[in-house]
Amino acid sequence: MFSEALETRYYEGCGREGPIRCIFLSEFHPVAGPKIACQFPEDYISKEDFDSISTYIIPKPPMQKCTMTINALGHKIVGYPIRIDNSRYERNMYLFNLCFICDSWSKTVQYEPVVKKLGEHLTLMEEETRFVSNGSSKMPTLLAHLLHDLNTYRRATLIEGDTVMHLKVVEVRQDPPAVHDFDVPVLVSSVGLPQPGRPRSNSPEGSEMQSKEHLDVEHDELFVIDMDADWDLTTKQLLPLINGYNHVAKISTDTKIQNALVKSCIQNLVYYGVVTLIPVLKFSNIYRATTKLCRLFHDPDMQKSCLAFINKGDDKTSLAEVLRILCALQQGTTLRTVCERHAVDSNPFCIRRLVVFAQLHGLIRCLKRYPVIVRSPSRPNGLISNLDQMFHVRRLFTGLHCADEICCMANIDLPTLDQMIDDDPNVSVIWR
Amino acid sequence: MEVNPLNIFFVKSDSKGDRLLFRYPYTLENKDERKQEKCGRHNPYAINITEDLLQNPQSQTSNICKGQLSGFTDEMLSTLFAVKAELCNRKFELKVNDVRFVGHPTLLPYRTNKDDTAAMILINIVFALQASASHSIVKCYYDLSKRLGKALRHEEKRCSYLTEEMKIMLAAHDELSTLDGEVNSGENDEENSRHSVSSTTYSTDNWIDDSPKNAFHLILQRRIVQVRINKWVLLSFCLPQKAHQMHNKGLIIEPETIDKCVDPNDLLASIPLDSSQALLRLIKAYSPLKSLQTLAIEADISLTQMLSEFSLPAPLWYVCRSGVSTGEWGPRGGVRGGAGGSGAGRLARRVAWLLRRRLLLQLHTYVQFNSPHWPRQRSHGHPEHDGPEYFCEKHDSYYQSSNVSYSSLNHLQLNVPEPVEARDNVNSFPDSDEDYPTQNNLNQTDFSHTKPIVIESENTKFDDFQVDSANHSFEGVDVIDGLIKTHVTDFDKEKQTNSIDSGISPKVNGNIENDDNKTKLFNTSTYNNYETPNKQSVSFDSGISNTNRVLRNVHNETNGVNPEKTMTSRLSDGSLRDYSENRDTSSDEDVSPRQKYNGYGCDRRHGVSLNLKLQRYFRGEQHLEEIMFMENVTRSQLMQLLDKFKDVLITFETEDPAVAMLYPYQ
Repeated sequence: MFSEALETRYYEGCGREGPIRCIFLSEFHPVAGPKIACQFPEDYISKEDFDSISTYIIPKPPMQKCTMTINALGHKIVGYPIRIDNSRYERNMYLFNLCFICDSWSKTVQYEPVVKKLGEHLTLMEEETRFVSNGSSKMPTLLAHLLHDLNTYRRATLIEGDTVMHLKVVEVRQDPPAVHDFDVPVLVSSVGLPQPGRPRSNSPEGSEMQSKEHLDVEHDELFVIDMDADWDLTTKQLLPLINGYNHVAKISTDTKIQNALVKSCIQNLVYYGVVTLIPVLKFSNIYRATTKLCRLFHDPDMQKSCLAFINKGDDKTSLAEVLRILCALQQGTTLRTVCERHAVDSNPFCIRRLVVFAQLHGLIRCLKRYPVIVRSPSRPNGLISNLDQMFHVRRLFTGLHCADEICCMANIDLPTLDQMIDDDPNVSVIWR
Repeated sequence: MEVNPLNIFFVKSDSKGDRLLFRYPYTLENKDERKQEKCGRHNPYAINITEDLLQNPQSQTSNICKGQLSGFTDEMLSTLFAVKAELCNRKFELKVNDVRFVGHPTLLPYRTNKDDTAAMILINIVFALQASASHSIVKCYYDLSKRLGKALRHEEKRCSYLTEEMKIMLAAHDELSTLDGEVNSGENDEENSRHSVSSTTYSTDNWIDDSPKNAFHLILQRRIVQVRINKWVLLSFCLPQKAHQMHNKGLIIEPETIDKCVDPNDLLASIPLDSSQALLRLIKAYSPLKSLQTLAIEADISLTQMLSEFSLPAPLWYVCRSGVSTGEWGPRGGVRGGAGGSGAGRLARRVAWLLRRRLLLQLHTYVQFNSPHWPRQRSHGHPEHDGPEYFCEKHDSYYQSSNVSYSSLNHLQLNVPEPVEARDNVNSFPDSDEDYPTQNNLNQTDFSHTKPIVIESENTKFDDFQVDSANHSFEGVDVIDGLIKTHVTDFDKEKQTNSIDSGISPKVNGNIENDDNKTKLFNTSTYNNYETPNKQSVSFDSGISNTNRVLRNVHNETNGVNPEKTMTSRLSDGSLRDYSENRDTSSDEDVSPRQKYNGYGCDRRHGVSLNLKLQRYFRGEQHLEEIMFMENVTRSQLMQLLDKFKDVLITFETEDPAVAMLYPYQ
């Protein structure tokens, strides 16, 4: 959400992930009260600091088994307090908590499942072998191992006795939008760098030196989709058809895969940033520039990738012409008109690819049409049966469904819908 | 909605222990309902498993039930919020499952009854928010909590207000809990006493209860809080995330309201009594059909004053914003046939209304210089040119910051007449996080939230320049021009490692070094730090002179002293590289390289010089109206120019980035 591209400083709320600085195990000692049983690296958190926040590390008994994050004293501590009731303990119960310490600016949501899983495994081990409460000598090595692996590989496998723990830090992303029949998936990777939808340099240069290991490797990787890789079966079938022009319904019919399955599969791909969704490319569409169009003027990197993407083969495309066309896409001018005006056919590049590229990068956006009934129509008496289909379609003219959506819902084609809208004086169209 | 708080708590902790004094809204966890729900799902044929011994009981993962906080008892909360002394007077942030608690524990001297020795008491006003709420929202609530704490501290000091109020509250609590304890017994006890706690707080007509409660309600309703604590201390607060998105909800609009624009009386009523007279004059003079200039003249204040001194509260700002471009109306954005009216004024009013409600989007025309040569030059001619990173970063930052961040709102107010300034201010906005309390500044009185930070920085900038322009150059660049930092890589990298969340300080040094770095990279054009402050001062000056409509000499300044080089350098740098290498662009005024290029003769002289003068605007960043305003040219002149140079100047229409972020689709 925040501008990450430029900001090189770390401040609270910068929304960036940070490394785990320290892992410690604290327990409730029957005599001494809450204390740190073991920590790695040693003395990362002082006794005084721990005492002032121990309420949140070893909370009162009713607060158990919930992920608690306390941000205080420059540390952000994620914990999962656990209580084991058993008469073998001095107080008939044992309270412990394995916590991760991060910097106070960093995002820690991604560690929560890990902390929770660890806590649950430790509970199991404690119940079986009293691994935690015995103050096992293996604990420091375990924590060191954990810290190193999680920071470096973002996953760790711990084997302790009979228990095997597989831990992985999973990036928490935003929920993907719903996929509609009329959406068109585009493979992000095929459009070249810079990747759309992601800040170009999520991990600014400055931070990489500091903590190379923790920042997402994924973001900086060149994103190539390997068709032979271990995709699941549905995705394997879908991938060849995702070309930036086929909409979901078409992909579904072409591959003979159930529509819902296609949608959830594509939604999954959207979640992982493999594809993005754009509206169907039609020459009757109206596109208009967004504020991001300026970026193409000034960003040679983007210019290069744009030219590379739209070129039909030779290298003769002039950027000036491309920009001219993009700027000509305005409110009230359909893509067809622009093509005619600029004699696009004679150009050495593909206008369709240009539109896809520009949309992917948010340089232009497609204006959708929302038909809406502005006056309630006079009811035709007794002829409803005749106009049955019309009637159903008209019910969708609420201003909430765009033309594409109505076509999909009512199962009619676009010219029919256009005709209906044109014929009816009571219907207006909102372009937005 | 994640902007809304879930709950507000008031906890005290003193020598007698901690106690949750107030909790609002209070909800009974409806156990009957839960039982019913269970029954509904219950399969009558299933075997009744009394206890699942093998499975671990599922831990609770959510503390929000139907938009209400659940699963916390008063005791749990009071132990959580009664923090140790080490954590006092700083931010308290605790996240439990999906609820985030934020507050500012305040330690204050407290007069006990018997003797006059002051003991310390800790009060903590905590807001419960959804954990997914963005940091900016959390920060706002933290700020509110801090202010409430401060106000209470002040009142306690003045007339031991808190002591009195707490006595009443505690008495009410005790009374009711004993009463309930007698009447009810068994398991319902706790629930009932809690219920009574809440009912007490409703019934007791005291202010300490009311003010947080009022605050809570006000936040829910208007996102703007104005309460008087103990009828004395005024506390005002605004949640920008909410205030600016207010109109996005599906309102049903009556046609007749379209003709009523802002009711000035409403606005006047919402302004505190002690506000400036000039602001009142301004509101009285306001009409959506007047431009800012007319408005300034009528209200008898200078334009700069109008923009800087009054922080222009949000509603007013929108109004001004839409007022600025009178004459450019036209329902371009949508609603075909909807806005037909009688008379232009009526139409304009309607459009203004629609724009204000963000039902209509105004598109502006931007101009971009488009040379047929530049792409290749860029990509092939100078591969070692460090352009890619640099420009790209820069633009990202502009757009993202202006699109997303709420706090840039304040800054962007200035976007109207002085885009140059405003943009710089946008860049400086992350600095506002600097005043976020860390351990260092515990006692700062930070009421700066409703005060736009821009203005301060602008004033200081201006002062600095007046006093000592040489000194200014480094400081100014650092705060203002964030873009330069990204460009210089190595040195800053090292700096970063040391200063993770520190502020500007290391970079001040960094910049000095940077200059060397950069001059290497940009040999031909002196695109570097030295000129940035000059640019600013000039543009700031021009902002002032704009009001007096004397701007003719800017042109001369521009070309003579060459302070504007930074503005134009990119243009001349990239697009006219071959020309600028051969000739000195800055020295010859009228023999423009483009003149040669276009092959136009001397009859075009005027057009060319105008073009030269305006070329800094042809980067797609200022729209036509802005150019007209800044350079005091008429629309027809501009149009002529565009027509003349239509080979190299292209126009495109888009929304103003400052306004764009307010639209829901962003």
